[in-house]
Amino acid sequence: MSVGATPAAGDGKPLVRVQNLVKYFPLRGGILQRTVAEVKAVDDVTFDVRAGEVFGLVGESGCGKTTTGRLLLRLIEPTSGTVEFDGRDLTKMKSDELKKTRSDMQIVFQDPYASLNPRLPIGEIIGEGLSNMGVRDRHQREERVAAILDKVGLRRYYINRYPHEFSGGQRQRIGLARALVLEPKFVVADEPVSALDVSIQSQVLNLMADLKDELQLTYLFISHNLSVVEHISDRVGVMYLGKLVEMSSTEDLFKNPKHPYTKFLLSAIPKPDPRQHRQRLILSGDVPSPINPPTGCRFHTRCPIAQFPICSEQQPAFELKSTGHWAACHFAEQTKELEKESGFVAPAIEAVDEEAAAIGQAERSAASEPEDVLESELDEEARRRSSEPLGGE
Amino acid sequence: MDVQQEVLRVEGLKTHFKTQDGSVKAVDGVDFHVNQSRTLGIVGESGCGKSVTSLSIMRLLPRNGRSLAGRILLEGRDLLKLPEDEMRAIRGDDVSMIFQEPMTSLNPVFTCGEQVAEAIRQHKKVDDQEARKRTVDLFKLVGIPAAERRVKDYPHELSGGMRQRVMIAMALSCDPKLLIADEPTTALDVTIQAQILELLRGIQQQKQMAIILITHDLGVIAEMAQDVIVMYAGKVVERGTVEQIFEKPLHPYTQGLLASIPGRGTKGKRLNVIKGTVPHPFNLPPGCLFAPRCPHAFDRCPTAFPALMDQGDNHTAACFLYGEEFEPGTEAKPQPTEKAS
Repeated sequence: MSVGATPAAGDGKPLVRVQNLVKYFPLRGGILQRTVAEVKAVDDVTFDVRAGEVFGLVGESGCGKTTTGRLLLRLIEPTSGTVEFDGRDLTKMKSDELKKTRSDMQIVFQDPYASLNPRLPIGEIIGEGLSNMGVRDRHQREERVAAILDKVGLRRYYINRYPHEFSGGQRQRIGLARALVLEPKFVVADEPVSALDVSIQSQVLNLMADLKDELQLTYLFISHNLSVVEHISDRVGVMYLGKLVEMSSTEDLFKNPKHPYTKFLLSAIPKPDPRQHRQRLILSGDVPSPINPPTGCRFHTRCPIAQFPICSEQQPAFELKSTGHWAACHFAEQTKELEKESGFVAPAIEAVDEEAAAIGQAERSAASEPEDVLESELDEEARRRSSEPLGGE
Repeated sequence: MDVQQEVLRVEGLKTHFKTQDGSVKAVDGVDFHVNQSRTLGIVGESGCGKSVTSLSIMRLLPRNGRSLAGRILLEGRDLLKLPEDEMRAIRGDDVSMIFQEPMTSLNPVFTCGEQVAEAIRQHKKVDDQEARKRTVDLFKLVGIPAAERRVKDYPHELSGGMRQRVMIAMALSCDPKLLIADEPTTALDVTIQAQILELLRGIQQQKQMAIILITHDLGVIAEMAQDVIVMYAGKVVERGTVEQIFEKPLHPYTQGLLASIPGRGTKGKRLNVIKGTVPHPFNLPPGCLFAPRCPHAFDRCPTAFPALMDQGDNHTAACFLYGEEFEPGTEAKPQPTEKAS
């Protein structure tokens, strides 16, 4: 029943410690193919992922969230900075040591159509990691693959089928099975439900929560979809142009965002409630180029409360602003006053206004009285079903 | 509300494709209408026929193997009966469309300005200079900064949001009466999505267009649409105003969809799921197409497809929970496979 949102989940000790992580991708040009510029994909990012929690990483395309995810597994080499996994520095590991550690850290990719080899039956796709990790015995391997298929809600006899025979949701289950067959501690889930329809998305999210509890996993959950992140994460980090701009517990971040960018992001989510025709705040312009990011605070070019010259000259430090709530903004404490001055209507009003939301909720359920029974039945049914394997054809 | 003029009425639209393996009923008997200044949202999951519906209205589907039946009345004129050259005159003029992928729907070898000007020259009797001038005005209208310079940019020089603005400029170039927006913001980031939706809303008010907004995102529907139809496997299963659909959904599919949205209030709880997956078009279940996934299915469901029944205030649902009527011709046969009447 429980999803990874137990209050205690956040109290674990750090499983992954990221310190001053930097990744610049060189841009080469000219006849000599010299580095002419650098894409500052991830620029000095520091955070912990605690054992047993779901850490959500959100941001818009190009903000560096995927690169961060890959750096955490050392799938790409960082330019500088360290990643400690379980107390050991991944960035300094030799390849055989890294290989061993890899069985504890896995990744689930976004696109279930592109991330599975179309020429291999899924049994081999899932079992490949096992043979890499020294499980040479074929029967043993098959047994473990079959066991993990059970866990992700696929039938055992699918083992010899090819990826094209599966639907998007089923493929994402295969991707999960592939990641989990080695019994990792840490899974980077990079947009795992973005390519899925709503009804399938909820199946996969429930499955991920169940597996987390059952196998005691820790997730880094990367997504651009804030509603999904709010649902599944214990803590959330918000990235903008290669920088972490805010990080806190999920509740605190959604109720009480401190960074102006986070406020815009939260305001931009379309809410599935037609009565909430709220004053939406619209962020103007596009994300600047990461090749030549703005000086000072990277958000100052679009920030409605930017104060010059501080914001355009000094990089704000990523500081603790209140208990467990970090933000990188010079004026995180004074946003209210500055917002008034600049005529910036804080977009997160409805987020804070829980009471109104609760009333709205109550009204809605009152309005749909006749359906109440129906809906609770529906819930009940869904719960029952979802505990069964969802082979679903 | 009744003073608003009806712009488009679709009656009994059926778009079927013949393939080697049998007939695919991508759209199977869809009715709806859109009025001036109103937005109709069409919502459903992949494969439910929402895009085919819009392409059928525009008559943009390839000729081979498809059959179109029903009526598509644009201000009284049946588009399905028009010869191709008249249809071409309507496309981009009275009705225009924006697509999901702003990356792939612009021609990479022409500047954005040329592509918009082309649409204007196609439909209005204006010289090149006037077309260019109008293009710049359109770029300003859709909020592209430095419009005079941007018209000379090639698509690859613009960001995704800007490209979608160019698409919108192109779609608006001849003041259409109806704009069909097929997943206009799906490929965009949330903050850019907010910009584009705001833009569409503003322009709609200004130009009093009718909009058909096709999306799988219920949040976008809730914000933009006044009327909603929910589609499932080529059929309309529920129709009503946006308040009716979101506050008092009748069809179990709509209820399931709404309940499966994650977000505030679902934290720490299990999400509702609709079990199983959308049926394969070659292997549709008999009777109600949603029955195999429906938590309320009973013995009546596999016998025929329920008709859309009005539950008051023009809120209709196709479900036997609310009445006995069924769509004629959908009664299950002893061998309930793809064969239809």
